[in-house]
Amino acid sequence: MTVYFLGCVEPYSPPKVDQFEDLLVVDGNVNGTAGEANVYLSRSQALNDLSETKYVSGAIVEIRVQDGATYRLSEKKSGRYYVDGIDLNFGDMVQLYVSDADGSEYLSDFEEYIETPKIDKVTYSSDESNVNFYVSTHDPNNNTFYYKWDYTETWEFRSAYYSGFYYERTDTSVEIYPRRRPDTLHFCYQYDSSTQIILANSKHLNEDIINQFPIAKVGTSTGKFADRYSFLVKQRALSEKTYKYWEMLQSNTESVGSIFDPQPSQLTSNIRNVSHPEIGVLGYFNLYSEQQLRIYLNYRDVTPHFFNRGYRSCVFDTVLVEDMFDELYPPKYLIGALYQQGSVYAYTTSFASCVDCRLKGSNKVPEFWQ
Amino acid sequence: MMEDIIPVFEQQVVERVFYNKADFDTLKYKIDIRENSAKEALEKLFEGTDLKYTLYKGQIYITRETPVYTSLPANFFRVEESFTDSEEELPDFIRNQEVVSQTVGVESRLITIGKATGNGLNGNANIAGYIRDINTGEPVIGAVVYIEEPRIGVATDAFGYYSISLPRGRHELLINSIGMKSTKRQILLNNNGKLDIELKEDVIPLREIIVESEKDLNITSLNMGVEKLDIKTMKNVPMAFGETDILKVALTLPGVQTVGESSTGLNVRGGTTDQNLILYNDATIYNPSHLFGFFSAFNPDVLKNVELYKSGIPANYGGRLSSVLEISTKDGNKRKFVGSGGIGLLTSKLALEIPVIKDKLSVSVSGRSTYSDWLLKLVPDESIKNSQASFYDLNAHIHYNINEKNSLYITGYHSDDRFKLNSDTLYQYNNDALTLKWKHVFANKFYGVFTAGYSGYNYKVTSEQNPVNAFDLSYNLGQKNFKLDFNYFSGSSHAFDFGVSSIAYDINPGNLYPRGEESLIIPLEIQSEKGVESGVYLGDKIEINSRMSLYLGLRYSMFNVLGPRDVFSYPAGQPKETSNITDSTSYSSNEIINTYHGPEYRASLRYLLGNDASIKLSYNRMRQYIHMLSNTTSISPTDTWKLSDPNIKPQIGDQFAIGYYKNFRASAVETSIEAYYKTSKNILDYKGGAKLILNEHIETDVLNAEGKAYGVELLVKKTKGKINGWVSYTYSRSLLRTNSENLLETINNGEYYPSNYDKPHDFTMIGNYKFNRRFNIGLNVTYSTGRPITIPLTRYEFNDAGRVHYSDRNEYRIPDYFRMDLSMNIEGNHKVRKLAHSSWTVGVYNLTGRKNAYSVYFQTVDGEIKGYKLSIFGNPIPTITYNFSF
Repeated sequence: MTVYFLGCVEPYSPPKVDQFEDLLVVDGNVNGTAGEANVYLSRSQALNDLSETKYVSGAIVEIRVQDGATYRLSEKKSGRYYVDGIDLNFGDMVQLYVSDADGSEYLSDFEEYIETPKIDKVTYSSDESNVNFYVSTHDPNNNTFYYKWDYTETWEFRSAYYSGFYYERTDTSVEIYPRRRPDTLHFCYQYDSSTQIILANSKHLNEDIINQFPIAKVGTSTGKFADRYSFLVKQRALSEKTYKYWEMLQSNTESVGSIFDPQPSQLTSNIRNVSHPEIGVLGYFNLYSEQQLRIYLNYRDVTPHFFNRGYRSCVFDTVLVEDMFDELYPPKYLIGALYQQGSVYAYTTSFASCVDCRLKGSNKVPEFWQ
Repeated sequence: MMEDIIPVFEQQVVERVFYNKADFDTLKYKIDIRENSAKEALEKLFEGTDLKYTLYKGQIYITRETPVYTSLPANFFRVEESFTDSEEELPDFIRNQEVVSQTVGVESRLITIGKATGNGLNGNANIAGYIRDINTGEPVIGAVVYIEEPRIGVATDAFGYYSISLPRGRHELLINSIGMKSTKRQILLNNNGKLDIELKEDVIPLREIIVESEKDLNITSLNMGVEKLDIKTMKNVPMAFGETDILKVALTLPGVQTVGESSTGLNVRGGTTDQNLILYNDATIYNPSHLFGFFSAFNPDVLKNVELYKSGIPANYGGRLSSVLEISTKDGNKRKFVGSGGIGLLTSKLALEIPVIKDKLSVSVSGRSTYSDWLLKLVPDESIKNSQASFYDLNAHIHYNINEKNSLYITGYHSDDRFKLNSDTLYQYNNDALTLKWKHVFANKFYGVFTAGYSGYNYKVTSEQNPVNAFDLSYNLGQKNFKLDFNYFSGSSHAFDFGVSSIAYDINPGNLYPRGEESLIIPLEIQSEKGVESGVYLGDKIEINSRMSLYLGLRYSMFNVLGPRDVFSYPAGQPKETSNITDSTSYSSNEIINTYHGPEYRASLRYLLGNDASIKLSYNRMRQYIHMLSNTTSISPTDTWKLSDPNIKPQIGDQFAIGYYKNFRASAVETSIEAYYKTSKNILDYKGGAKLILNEHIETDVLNAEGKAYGVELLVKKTKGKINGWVSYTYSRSLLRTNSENLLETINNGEYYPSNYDKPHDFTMIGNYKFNRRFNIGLNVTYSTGRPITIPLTRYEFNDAGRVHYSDRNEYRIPDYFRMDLSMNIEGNHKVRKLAHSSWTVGVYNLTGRKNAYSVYFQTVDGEIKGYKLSIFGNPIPTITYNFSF
C-alpha cells in the first residue's frame, strides 16, 4: 500500500561507504520467439560509485537446451554476448552457462520455455493531463497466471516550421532548391520505452484473465500525442518463481518511499556460482516467449490538452532575395517563398532549432509505421 | 518580596501561610522577624495597607480588606449543603473566600468514626471510602491518604477508593493529590467505618506552601517505571494538529519511542509495538490510531488520565510483554449537566456529561469527527487529490453508584476509519469495545470487581474499479473477556489483590470474496483461529517496616489453542517451508489443539532513604499469546493479529529494573533515574518478501527471534509553580537475533542486529509557563538518534536499469531527529455565570521547520538509482483550535 502524505521528498546522498559486495551480475535474456539470446556480464559496484558499468569480457557463455543443442554466444561489445538462430519448443528446459576469464563457472537452474498467450487488446483512456494504457489478455488453457509487460512508445512530431527549400552556397552566390518529404526536416519520430517493472497475476481469479490492467500513464504535456503516437506492448508469461523474483526486485527498488514500506529483502537468483557456492550472484536468467500488440493514437483521439515541445519561442524572419548572400550567414533554414507578381522576392527563414526536427528525433519513418 | 518572606515565616513561626500572591505583587517589605513574635511581625508588616491577617492553629491566612474569620456563622454547615438557595444570607467574605471557609470548617471539625466500644482505644480499626472531586463527583485516582504519626499511608485506586488501617484514637488524616487542593480531617477512630472525602480542584490563586513534608507518591509507592498523566497535563503539550493526543504525549515519556511521526505505535523500553496492552476502561483496543496514525483513537475530552506501566507490572495485568497503557475516562459529572467541545482545523468534537440521578447516576456521551478531505485536496499530488479520508469515534459511559456497596460502570466505544486512495481501493477499519464493571464492597477492607467485556477489531479492503478483479477482503478479531478482581486490605502491613481472568479470542485471518457479478475472484477463506487465554493471580503488598515495602505477585497464565482447524507439521530441525510440510492434522470444533502455560513472576521492593528519597527494585516476567504480523516499519492498517499455535510459540519476556528517586524543594521537583535490562523470546521477524495477508501457513514466512534491551532513563519533573514540565534523557539499546540452525532462517547471519526502533539517545523537554490563569505557553523539544535502516551498499545494472542490492539489515541510521513545538492556551474570562467557557489553543508544530527524515530510500527511476529522504512534516505546521465547555 502506498501512502504519500503531507510529506516532502528531497534527494539524499548515500553515506560514503567503500565497503560493498563485488559480485558478478548476469543479465541473461533468451527471447525464444525471436530466437535470440542477449547475455550481459558485469560486476556490481559501490552505490556511490557513479562510474560506467564494469562489463566483464572474455567469458564463455552458452545456452544449453536439455537433451538438445548448445548455443555458444559471441561477444559483440565488451561484456555483451549474443547469438541468434535459437530454436526452442515449448516445454524445452534451458540452462545458461557462464565461465569467466578467471575460470569460475556459473550455472542457472533449468528454466522451462513456456508459451505466452496472445494479447487480447490494448486500450486507453485520457484526461487533460494523462493518457492511461491498459492491457487485457487471457489464457484459454487457464495455465499461465503470471505476466510481465514492457512497452515501447513511438511518436511522430513536427518542428515549428516546414522547410520548403534549401540552398547551396558558393563563394559568390546562393542557389536555392525545393525540398520533398521526408527531407523537409519537419516530420520526425521519437522513441521511448518502459523502465519500470510491470507485473500482474491472475492467481486469485477462477479464470486466467487479466482485464484492463493499467500498464502505463503517459503525461500529455510531453507533447507525445501532438500528432500521431504508437504504443507497442510486449507480453511475456512467467513461471511462479520468476514472477516472485521480479516482484521482489520491484518491491526493493521501485515500490519504495511510502509510509508503510516493507523491509527490503535479499533476492534469490536462479544462477549460482558453481566453483565457489559461497559467493553470491546477482541478476537472473530470463527465458521467455513474447507476444506483441501495437496501437496508434492521433491527437484527436485523446482529450484536448496543452503541450510544450519546446518550439514556443520560435519566430521567423524574412530575407529579400537580393540580400540572401549576406543574410544567410550564419546559416539559416529557409521555410517558404514570398511571391510578388508571380516571382519570388523573399524567403522566410528560421533557425535550426525551430526547423530541423532531427535535433530531437529521427526523420526516418519507422518500418512499422502506418 | 512577599515570596521571600513567606518561607521564613513558615520555617520559623508557623506551619503554613495562605495568601493570594496577586495581593502582594507591588509591595515591598523589610522585616526582621527574629526579634518579634509572629503577631508583632505581621502587625508591622501590614501597617498602612489594607491587608488583614488571621493566625489560626499555627497557620496564617492573609487576605485583603476582610480578615478570615476563624469561627463560622451558626448556620454555616447547613448553608453549605444548600449553598445556592441561601446565598443572600451569607456575608460577602464567605462567598468570595469559599474555599478557605469550607476548608477550615471541614478540616477542623472532629469526625467520629465507628461507635465507641467499651474496650478503650486499643488495636487497629479501618477506614475506607471514596475521594471525589467536589465539583463533579469524579473519583480522584492516586490521592494519598495518610497520617504522620505513626507514618501510615495508602493511595486511592482506580475507583478513588481507599482503605487504611490505623490505630484507634485521634488522628489528623491528610489527603494530597496532584492538581487538587490538599486537605485534612480530624478523626476519632473508634471502630471500622466509612469516610468519603471531597477535594477541590487547585485553581484558586491562593498559593499554598506546604512546610511539612508530604508523603509523595513517586517516592513512597512501590510502583516503578510507571508514568501517570492527567488530562490537564496532556492538554498543555503542543500537538501536530492542535488536538491532544495521549499516544503522542506518551511518546514524550522516557523509555517510549516510535519509528516515525505518522506512527502511533509505541516501542516501550525496546519492545515491539504489539507488546503493549492498551486498555480503554478495561477494554483492549487493537488499533489505537486514526488516519494513518496522525491521530490517536481516543477523544481527549472524555479522558481522565493515562497510566503507563513500563516495569514492575502488577500481577493483575497480563498478556503483553512490554507495557500496560491504561486509559481511564471521566465517570461523568453527577451534580450538573456539563458539556465540552472543540473545533479544530481537522476535527471537531463534543462531549456531554448528564447527571441522571444526582450523586448517583451519570451518563456521558461524546463524539469526534474529521473533515480532513480538504487537506488532501491541497496536496499537489494527483493520487492524493483524488483520495478521501475520514474517521469518527463515539464513546458512551454510564456510572451508577447504586448504593454504598455497589457501583456499576458501563463503557461503550466505537471508532471508524475509512480512506480511499486515488479513488480506487477503499480501506475501512474499526474498533469496538463494550465493558461492564460491577464493583461490590464486601467490607471496609475487602472489595471485588467483576468485569465483562467485548473488544473487536475489523478491517475491510474493497476494490471495485476493475469489475473483473473487484473484491472484498476482510479481517475480524473479536475477544470476549471476563475477570474477577479482589482487593483485601489486611491490617496495615498487607494488601492483597487476587483474581481470575479469561479471554476467548476468535479471529478470521482473512476472507477474500468477489465483488459484483463480473468479478472472477476466487473466494478464499483462511481458516479461523480460536484460543482461550486464562490467568489466575495473587499479589501481596507488604509493609515490612516504615522504610521498606515489598510487592510479591504471581500470575499463572495458560493458553489453549482451539479447533476447528487444520495444523501443518514440519520436521524438527528443518526450516518451516511449504516444501517441508510433512503432515496436516485436523481438529474438530473446540478441540484443544495444544496448550501453553507458565508462571509469571512479579516483584517490587522499595526502600525509603529519608523522607524525600527512595530506592526501588523490580522484576517481572510476562507471557504473550497474541502477535501482530507486520512487515512494515510502522503500524499499517492492514496489520493483522495472530494467535499462538503449535507453530508460533508464545512470547516470553523478563525485565529487571532498578531506580533511585529523590525529590527537592518540598517535592516541587521530582527526579529519578531508572535502569533496566530486558530479554525476550519468540519474537516474530519476517523472511524477505513475507506474505502476511491471506497466507494459509504464516509460519513459513516468519522467523523466530530473541530480543535484548537495556537502558537508563533520567527524569527531572517540576509539578508545581509557574514553570512546570519535565526533562528526560534516555540511553537505550534494543537488539534482536534470529535463532535458527538454518542459514536461510537467519538475518545478518544470526548475529544481534538493532531493531527498527533502536534509538540510543533520546532527549525530551516538555515545558509549560503560566503567565496567569488565562494564558500559558507550552514548549516541546525532542531529540533522538535516527532509527536504523537497511541501506543498499551495492549497485548493478540489470535489464537496462540500475538496481540496488541490500546487504545486512539495519546497519545504518537515518539522520537524527529534532523537533520543537510551541503552543499557547488562551482562556476566556472566568466569570462564574456565563453561557460557556471558551479557550483558544494556538500552536506551531515543528517550529524550526526541520525536515526530519522519516525514511531514506533508493529508487530506480527511469533506469537510474536515486536516493531520497522522506519527511512527514517538512514545514512548521500552525494550528488553531477553539475549545468550549458549559
